[in-house]
Amino acid sequence: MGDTKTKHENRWVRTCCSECYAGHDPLKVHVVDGVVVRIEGDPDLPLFGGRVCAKANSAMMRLYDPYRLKAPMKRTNPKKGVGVDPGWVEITWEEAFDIFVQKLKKIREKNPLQLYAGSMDVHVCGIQALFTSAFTGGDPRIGYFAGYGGFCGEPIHRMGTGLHGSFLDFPETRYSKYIIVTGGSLGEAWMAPTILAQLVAEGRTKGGLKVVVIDPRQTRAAAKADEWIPIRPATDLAFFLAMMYVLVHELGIYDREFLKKQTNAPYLIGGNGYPLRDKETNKPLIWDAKDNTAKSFDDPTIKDFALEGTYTVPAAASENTDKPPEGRPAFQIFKEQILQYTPEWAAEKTTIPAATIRRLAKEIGEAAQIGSTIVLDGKEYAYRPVAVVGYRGTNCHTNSPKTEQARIVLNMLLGSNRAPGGVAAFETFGLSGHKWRYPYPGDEDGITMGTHTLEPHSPWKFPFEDVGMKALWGGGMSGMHHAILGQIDPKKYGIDENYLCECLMHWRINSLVSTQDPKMTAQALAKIPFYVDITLWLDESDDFADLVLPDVHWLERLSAFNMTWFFEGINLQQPVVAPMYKSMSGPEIYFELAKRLEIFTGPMGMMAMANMGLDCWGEPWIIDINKECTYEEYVDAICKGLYGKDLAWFKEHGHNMQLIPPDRFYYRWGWNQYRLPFYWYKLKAQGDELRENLERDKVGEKTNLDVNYLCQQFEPIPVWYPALIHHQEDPKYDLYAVSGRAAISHHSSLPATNPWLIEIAERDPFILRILINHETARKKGLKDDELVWVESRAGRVKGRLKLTECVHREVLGFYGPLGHWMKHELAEGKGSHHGSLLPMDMKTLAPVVPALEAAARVMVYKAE
Amino acid sequence: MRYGLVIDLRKCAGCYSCMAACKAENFTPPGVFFTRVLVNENGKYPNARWQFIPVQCNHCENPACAAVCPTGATSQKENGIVTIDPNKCMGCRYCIVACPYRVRFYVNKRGTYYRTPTPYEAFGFRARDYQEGTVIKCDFCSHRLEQGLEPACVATCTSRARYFGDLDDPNSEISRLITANRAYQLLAEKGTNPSIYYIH
Repeated sequence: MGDTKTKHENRWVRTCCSECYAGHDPLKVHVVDGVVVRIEGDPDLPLFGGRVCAKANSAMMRLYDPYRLKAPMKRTNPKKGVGVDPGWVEITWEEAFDIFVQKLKKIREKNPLQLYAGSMDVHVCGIQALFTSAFTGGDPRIGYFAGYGGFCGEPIHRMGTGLHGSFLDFPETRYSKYIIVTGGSLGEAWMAPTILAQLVAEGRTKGGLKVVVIDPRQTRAAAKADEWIPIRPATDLAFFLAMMYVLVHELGIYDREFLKKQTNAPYLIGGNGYPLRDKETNKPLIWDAKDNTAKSFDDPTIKDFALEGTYTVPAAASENTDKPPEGRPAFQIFKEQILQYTPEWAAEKTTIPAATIRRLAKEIGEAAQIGSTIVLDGKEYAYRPVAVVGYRGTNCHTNSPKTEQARIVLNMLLGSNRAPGGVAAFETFGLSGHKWRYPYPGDEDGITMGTHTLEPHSPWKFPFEDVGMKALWGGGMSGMHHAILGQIDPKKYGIDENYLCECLMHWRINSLVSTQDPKMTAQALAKIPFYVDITLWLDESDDFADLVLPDVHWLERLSAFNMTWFFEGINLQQPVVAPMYKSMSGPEIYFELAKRLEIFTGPMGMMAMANMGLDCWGEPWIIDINKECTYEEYVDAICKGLYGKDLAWFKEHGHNMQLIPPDRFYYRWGWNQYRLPFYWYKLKAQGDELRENLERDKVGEKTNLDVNYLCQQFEPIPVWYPALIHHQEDPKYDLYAVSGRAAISHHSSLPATNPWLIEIAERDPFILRILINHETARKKGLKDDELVWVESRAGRVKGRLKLTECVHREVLGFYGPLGHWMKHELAEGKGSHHGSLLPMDMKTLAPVVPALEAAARVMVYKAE
Repeated sequence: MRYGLVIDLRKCAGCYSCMAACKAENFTPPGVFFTRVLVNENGKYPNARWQFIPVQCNHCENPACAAVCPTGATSQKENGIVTIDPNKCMGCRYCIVACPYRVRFYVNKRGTYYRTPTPYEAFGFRARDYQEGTVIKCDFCSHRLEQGLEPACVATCTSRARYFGDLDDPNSEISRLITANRAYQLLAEKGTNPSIYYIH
């Protein structure tokens, strides 16, 4: 006491990265006298080895961005519009909470479902979900609104959780021999990039790993791969179907044992498209090829599961009493269906030569070394060192539900789902997956259900009780960009106006830049009476905000979440430096709101929701549900509850992560315990139910919705659908515009404001430009570096051309997210905004899962 | 002891983490990257590929820069690292002309990224003595080597394409990599004998 001399501070603090959504790499940060002077990777953790990307290395320039929002502000100009000055006035936090809580109280009394919320801060957005769950009293129809839009890989989540218990999947790589990547920036901005970059580089230089990248534009991974094969946008589905055709019909290479015992491919399917079931037990039946009789799928006396043939099955329940029903194994139905998808057929769709498809199928089929095993930690596993993975190329088109299904089923043919060297899975973000249930639970038909599911959970109600019309798609992950349509014109879509968005709260989301057609998004935002944004900057969308609250940078924030990919355990993010300005961390804002609204404690309070999220459904609670606590006490309780170590321990050590041992990493449904739905009749049932609902309520007559379109793509097996962009629009739109991300790109909700990364991008020949093939440019008389307009039916954007051989001849390649118009001296006007080219209507959304079409038909011409 | 670097071009994916790490570690002024990644395009569609080639000071055994330095500011340490003494450099920039690799930078103005320096940059002004009117460049992160650490670009490389070590030790990892892969130097014909080798 009494010592007034300032102590010199010089320390390294452990935390982890939230600079983008992909990595959350563990870090150590050098702090000198309260200033972050260096950010490095944690060198002690296996697979990471201290390597971090350019974004993490540059994060202090985002932390110290002078354009950060410095205090809460409220709007004074009631007129809202792009570029219209909101007349911001600084207010205190007390005033901000007062205004906000008043508003929320009114909504909660009237109809809590008129609050819509969204966050693209995947590492802490769970907190927002806890708040909204408590706000609505646990109603599953909690509203999301136009969030991360074109960025989300929605189909991979819905199809992945349904088909092989995977929220995201990625090439396991450690033991892989052959990887096909379709439309994903492997090692750049997709799936644990710093780990996969190391593993792929090592595998390729040591020999033994072959990588093929199929993408309209050359990615970094494509540049390093054994082969880059350009493909016409949104035709990956045709490629997968033809690969399956070659494997099944020409080569006969597929993993029969895997199909018979780890999937429902042998289940006998009746004429109605559903499994034949035993009269007595109601269990799905299979045909025992040895005993020549039908048996329940789990009968221990089964000698051989038939995959092919047509059988008369007297044991099966049937409505028709005259004649015993006929059944075919699901695989037989699949085999007949894909007979039409020859490589020649696919070549026309994809522009990939038929011979190339045949060669790739043969190569990957042989590399799968079907029948081989591997011993890891003393236990033997089926070894299938091949993976077909994808991201935007398979997820961001209107035929993506079927594309993702085909990709995952192709892996099933190869037996590579969750195999050593095969397709690995990322289970979940946040802390919800901490229990690592093993094996996954299964249903009464013996089908695995994964750790969580994205099956439809919105009960059918018409008129719709949310602007996102969730009941049409069931779940919905992507932040409901389609809520834009409903908010603008509820009558057109049959939306009950008592459910229009009354208040929108966004956190680290910039809808105007991240969804399609900013003009439409602006219209929708203007129709929201009260919009609150928790943000680091005044971004484009804030032209429509009523209240802006200054968020902290993640270097100033406390948060605990699971590290998944190859790891389990808590990865702690802690305030490395004190929050600057009058900023407050998002979780603390939600804690304060919940306390003021009196929804923090109690059996349906925010803390009760938190316990449920952690799989704790009663005493002893992980977090006391009857006592108010601080956010720090909450994190401490989670650390102790899950791992018996307190927050102080985690602050010192940073994390307790460990590699997931092989017996829980591979074949998570439990080998020979549950099966993958090769033939996904639950999906068909959902489609049938949707059609029934739509027809019963005459939705087609009462609204502008196309019932037939909405019921497409629910088939239980992969079949061909073109994407919207394949239907010829105005012939003047002769090219496709696609976008992708580089290793220095953030996701679409984070502006490109980091001065170092912008400086690096300016030195790259491609990143800030629009890529066009030399040949295409020559035909159009366009030159390198020329200023052009790219125009679609949605709008036009200006940009500079870069002539290259590394893009498909029918394609213009964009990097994103760029082309900002927010007031930031470094970000404004850099690159071109691809989203402005994407039209927004019900036909640009896929059925089954509302994947939005992230490619557009465009024309390009010289700018005067 | 002669420090050297091997860059495996088969592995480098042009992610630019080395450029950012180098900037962070060395507080370089706007416009200056001691290490850069050049991007080339080879081949015809569809068999075309991008190639990424990181470049930085080669710490040549026979540095052309040192030979032309009139004040002796550029010199070579016993460990092979070529350094510039800012107190002796008078900014004549002969070295920039003489260097065949274009990896030296003249500091016209120290500069900041925004109108006023960020707290990080303010710290950098004190931590690194880059004087206006002098030439600066990569020194293999000598301050890190003193602490037993690898250069920042090597430690962060996301595809492990960079290897650092002792060229004089025939058993070092880099010596073995050079021999096994017939690694080559840039512009070897200039006779400078660079300490950076590339595997293609």
